[in-house]
Amino acid sequence: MLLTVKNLSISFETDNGTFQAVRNLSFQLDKNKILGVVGESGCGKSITNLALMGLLPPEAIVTADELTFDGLNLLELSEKKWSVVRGKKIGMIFQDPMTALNPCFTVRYQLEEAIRYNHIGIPSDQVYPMALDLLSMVGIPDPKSRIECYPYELSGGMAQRIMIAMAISGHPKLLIADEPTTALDVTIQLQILKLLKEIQEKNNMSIIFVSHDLNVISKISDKIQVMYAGEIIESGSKTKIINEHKHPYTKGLLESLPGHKKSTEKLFSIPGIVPDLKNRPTGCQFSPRCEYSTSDCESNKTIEINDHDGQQWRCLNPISRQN
Amino acid sequence: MIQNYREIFFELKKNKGALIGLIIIGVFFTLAIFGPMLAPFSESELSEHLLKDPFWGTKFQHSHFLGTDDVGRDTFSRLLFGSRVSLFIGIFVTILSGTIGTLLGLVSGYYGGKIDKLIMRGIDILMALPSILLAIVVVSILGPGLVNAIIAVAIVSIPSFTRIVRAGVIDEKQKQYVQAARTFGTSTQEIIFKEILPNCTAPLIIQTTLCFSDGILNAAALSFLGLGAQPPTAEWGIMLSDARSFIESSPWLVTLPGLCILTVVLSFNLLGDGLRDALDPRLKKGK
Repeated sequence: MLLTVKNLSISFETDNGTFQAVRNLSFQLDKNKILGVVGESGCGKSITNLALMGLLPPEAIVTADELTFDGLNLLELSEKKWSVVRGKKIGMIFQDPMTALNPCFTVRYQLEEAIRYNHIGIPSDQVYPMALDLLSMVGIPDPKSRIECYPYELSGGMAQRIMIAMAISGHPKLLIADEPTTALDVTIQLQILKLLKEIQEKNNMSIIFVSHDLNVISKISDKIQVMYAGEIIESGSKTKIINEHKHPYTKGLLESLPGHKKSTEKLFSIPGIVPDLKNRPTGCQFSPRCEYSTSDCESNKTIEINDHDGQQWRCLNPISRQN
Repeated sequence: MIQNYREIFFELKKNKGALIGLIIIGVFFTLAIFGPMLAPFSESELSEHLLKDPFWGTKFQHSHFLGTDDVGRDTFSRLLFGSRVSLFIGIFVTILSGTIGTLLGLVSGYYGGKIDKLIMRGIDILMALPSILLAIVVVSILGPGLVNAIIAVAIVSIPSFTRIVRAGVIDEKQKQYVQAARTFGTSTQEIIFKEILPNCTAPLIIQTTLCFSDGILNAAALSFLGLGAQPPTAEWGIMLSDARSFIESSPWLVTLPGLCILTVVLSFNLLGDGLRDALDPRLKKGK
């Protein structure tokens, strides 16, 4: 097991009281697997990623029963040890590649800098060839001229490829991709997904792929987990989630995808909004928006996680399929 | 922001005022470096020709190109020596206040919270007092003299650097490239100096030129009040104050050092303005 998270909770102390961004999150990730994380904005996806990188702001309160990555207890790492994990064991790519590159410096400078951080003591004459190798690996045509570009001279897809090159420069075992395709147009999205899959297979790494788009997630992931209001409400293999989902929220997400209905029909949307994290519902977090919700859903504080055949869901009235 | 130095120079060339400023500054720097070699007399050499006019005046003595002062010192030579002192003051004030101000701004902008409050309230106190008054207070504590005047003027110039850098840092530190740098294992120090600071340079360069002119002006004012450079040093401010009792009999004696100060300060301000136009993308969009 590469990554084990058990009962991870993250809360923030503010002037208006404490609010819990993530609560009792438990999941595992195998080597060489792609985990897709899907959920609405503000459901705690990015916060969880930052926690895995140790990059949460100091006012965040992180508690967990277990948070181990590759034999390391991430909960007790000193800042010094973190710098060994970041970049070298866990890499990260971001939503908007245009702002994730420093506008002041050329691609060459930034890429070489990343290589030097991740390979301490590397002879200086090996850095440039390595940078070129990385660029051709991520499919940049004519790396020799592209490497001298400033970020503003690049297209979004190109910049994202360079971000990927920087993130994998230290051969990390885990790549966290935080909505890497959201800011790109659809054709480029597909290219980036293919590239990530290719690199994942070549480098034997795992990927946590975060997106709010189930369509994108289902193209790349082995396993999908659906998050809502800081909790995992359903998880399972890709086919299980797409075809045999049990949670009404997952159903809602799938139905709101374009393409499932005729083009003349209005696209489905889940009514209501994500609950205020300072003022959570007592029972099931989704109950106020759920069409199957009962009074038990609203009051039951401890909804058990059902586990069946590798698929978990947190729901009292799961969708049943007789046929 | 900083695209290319050649591009910046191209932008700058379009601005006539900035170009003129740059040329005049170049001339003054050359004079400051080679001036004492060109000067016909030393800065404190006395002669029997007292209060002579410059070459266009009626009381002109041909050996003294720009006339002499009340003890017979050659005005032209003293102006040349004075340019060295003034530019020296400008450079040191800028380096001193620029370094301290930038560091304070970086720290306060990046860390925020209590450190930020502490630093910024200190800066507010500095800003609440009129700059020349504050400089006088500092010099009175340290004692008059050129070095102390530089320190005093530098302290007065710190707030603007700190505020500008802090604003830039607060803006930049939230950007994704800072977060991205962290994910590569970059240390905080490197993030501050290698990632954030280069992105704040545009306003910083502009402030540097403005600080240069302010520094010269404030130091001249202190010298004029007798708190800066001490006689017989040839400093433009001292020359002004020495000559002010002869303003009616030999008006040129006051006018020439005054003109020098005016020209240098004006040139730096013109250059600063031009640099702002060349470097600030927000102003470029309007065109």
